[in-house]
Amino acid sequence: MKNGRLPLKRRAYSGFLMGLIGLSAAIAVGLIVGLIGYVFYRGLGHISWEFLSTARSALRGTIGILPNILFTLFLIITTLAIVLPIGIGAAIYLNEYATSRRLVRIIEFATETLAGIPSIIYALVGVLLFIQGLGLRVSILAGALTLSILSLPTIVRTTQEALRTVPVSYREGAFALGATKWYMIRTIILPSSLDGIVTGVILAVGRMVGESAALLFTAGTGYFLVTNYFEALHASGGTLSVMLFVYATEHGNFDVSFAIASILIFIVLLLNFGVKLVKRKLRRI
Amino acid sequence: MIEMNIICAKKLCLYYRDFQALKDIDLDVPAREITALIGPSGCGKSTFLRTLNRMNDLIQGVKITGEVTYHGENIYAGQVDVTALRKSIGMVFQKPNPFPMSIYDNVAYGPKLHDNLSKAELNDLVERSLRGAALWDEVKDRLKKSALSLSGGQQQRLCIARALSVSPDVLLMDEPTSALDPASTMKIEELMGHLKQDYTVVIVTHNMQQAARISDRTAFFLTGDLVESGKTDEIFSMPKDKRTEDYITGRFG
Amino acid sequence: MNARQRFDEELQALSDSLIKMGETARTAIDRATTALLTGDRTLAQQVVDDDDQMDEMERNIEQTCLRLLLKQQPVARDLRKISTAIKMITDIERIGDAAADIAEISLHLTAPMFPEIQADLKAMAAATQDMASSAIAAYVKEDLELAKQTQEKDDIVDDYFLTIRAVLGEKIRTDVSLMDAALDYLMIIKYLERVGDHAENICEWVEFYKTGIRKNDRIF
Repeated sequence: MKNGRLPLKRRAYSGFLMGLIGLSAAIAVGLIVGLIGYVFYRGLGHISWEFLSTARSALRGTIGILPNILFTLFLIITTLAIVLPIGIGAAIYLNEYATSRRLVRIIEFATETLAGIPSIIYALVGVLLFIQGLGLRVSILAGALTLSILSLPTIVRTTQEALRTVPVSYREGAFALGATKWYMIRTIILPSSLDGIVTGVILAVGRMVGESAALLFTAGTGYFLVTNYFEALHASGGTLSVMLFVYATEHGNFDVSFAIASILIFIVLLLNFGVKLVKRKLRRI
Repeated sequence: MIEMNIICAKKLCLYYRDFQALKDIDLDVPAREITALIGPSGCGKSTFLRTLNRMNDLIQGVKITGEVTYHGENIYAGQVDVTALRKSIGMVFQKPNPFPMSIYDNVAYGPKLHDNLSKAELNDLVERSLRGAALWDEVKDRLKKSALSLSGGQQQRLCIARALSVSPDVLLMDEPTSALDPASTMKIEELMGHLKQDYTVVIVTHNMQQAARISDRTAFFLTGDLVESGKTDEIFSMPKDKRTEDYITGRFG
Repeated sequence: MNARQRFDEELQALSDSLIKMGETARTAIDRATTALLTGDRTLAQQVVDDDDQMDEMERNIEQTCLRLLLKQQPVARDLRKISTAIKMITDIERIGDAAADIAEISLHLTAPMFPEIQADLKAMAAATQDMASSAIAAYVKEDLELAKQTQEKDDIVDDYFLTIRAVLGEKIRTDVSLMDAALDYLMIIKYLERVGDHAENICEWVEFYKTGIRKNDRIF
């Protein structure tokens, strides 16, 4: 480096690479912004108070998605009620109690694989297991059970990750004071991994909101308003994503589809902000 | 009769699977004295320390033979309540490890675990423990603040206060000052001088000068063997074993 | 590999300078007694002149020891070696002082030596020389046995002292005019006796260096 500068050839090469990287970034950002912008451009105009607060009426020929919003909500609540205890419990067992490392590794490999399987396969499993096997109707409950299986691996994985971030030194500190294992988990491990667990759950909820393939044949495409949660469990109900698909393919009504898409994007954005908020609020003091 | 040796290890061996980490250790720990365990990394001194409150139980594949008696009872006997044992034999670790909660809650954690105390009793105990660890004056105005906001030296004294809160009679310290600056180290050493009036202290240290400064007795470990133990003054002036001499004079290896 | 090679070199240098100082003291006491017995004034003057050199050596060794204590925080045999050195140089320096004092007195002697004490004085000087050189040798060779033997020789020196003192006392009683000369010789044998004591001290420090025990007590 005689005059403190790189040789011309290397500078040119470096500049070329920088250009490529910049281009990739621009394409990625452009695609996302363009996509969201287009969806909002096509969809926002069709969202009205009536659209959000009524059910679809064949008589009046109006379209409303209130039942579908409720179905989505019910489905998520039911799924979480099933998957959280099992998933978090399994993660705690794998991380804190399981003594056979080999078994843990096998289970972890299995959950990892399951997390990568296309969701349509879960739909098949759901139909076979819950509808043909258990004789359930195509309903929110059958959908929730299917979604539970689908999201279980993710919940277990993210919870395990969160538990792993709790330093060994905390555990030792608690044990050295004479704490039992469960007391230690309850008072030290869970509180200090809460932010990670909640983040994982919110991201899983995001996936549930966006899921359609697994629900089409298990939760169905119902659009009648059912406000009672327990009745809804046994009713066929289309979630927002499912209805987006239904309106676009069966009715060719892309205006409604784009409106629902706008709402879905909005919900996912909201959930992602929620994650950031949770991270900040629950950050270990 | 005054009990001389509060903890005695007899023919203690420890294996990690096939590896023997401790070989036939015979060591007595006299009450109300500071016993320092020294030796090069991997010599088994920390492992030995952790056998005294059965912290090695947490590690898979550990097998122990021989015995460790505490007040004359073998702590590796079948019916021993490990929870009660660890309440009596407290531990302070190399890296300060306050829990991610308030200063107050850190100290109250142990008592809440073992006893059902009233709010006033608990307040009193927290204060006494913090005073015992020479930390009270520095934190009395911010007990509700996060323990993680304290400096490293204060965190370590908080951990000592936490250990004291369950009224142990033995304190095990695993290189308690190795992560601290010299001033904090001196404070903790000073504190240990006070602690030995009420507690028996066993400390693992890499700092030979520290062992010489604070301990009454010193035990030198090498590759799982207890090479030599005795009065610190004697070990540091006239060690009997050539290996001890080579190690403490820095001519090891 | 030696992890503290520099420190070991410094300790070796300390030993070397201590040995050199011991040799200088031994030479001084040799020359002083020779000068006394032969009346060699040039040699006596040389001993007196050389004493400054001893003081200089003592200061240097003292500084080295304090610096090593400060920087190396020695323990065990290193600590014993350095503390032995720091104590021993006082004794060695005193031997040098005694030699210079004997030489100085012999320069100013007013009367020839009393024939009655000549043989004993010669023997006492020889015994003292022997003690001084054995003590130094014991340190150099770290020879505990030699150190113990040397310590026992102090009784011989003490016996000569008492014998010669009795003769000198008798001289003064019989003829007061011999008082000055007798006192000079009394001083000389006292200095010789002191040299024996310092040699004994050096041996005690050798014993401490080797065993950690001094005068039957553990110091630590």
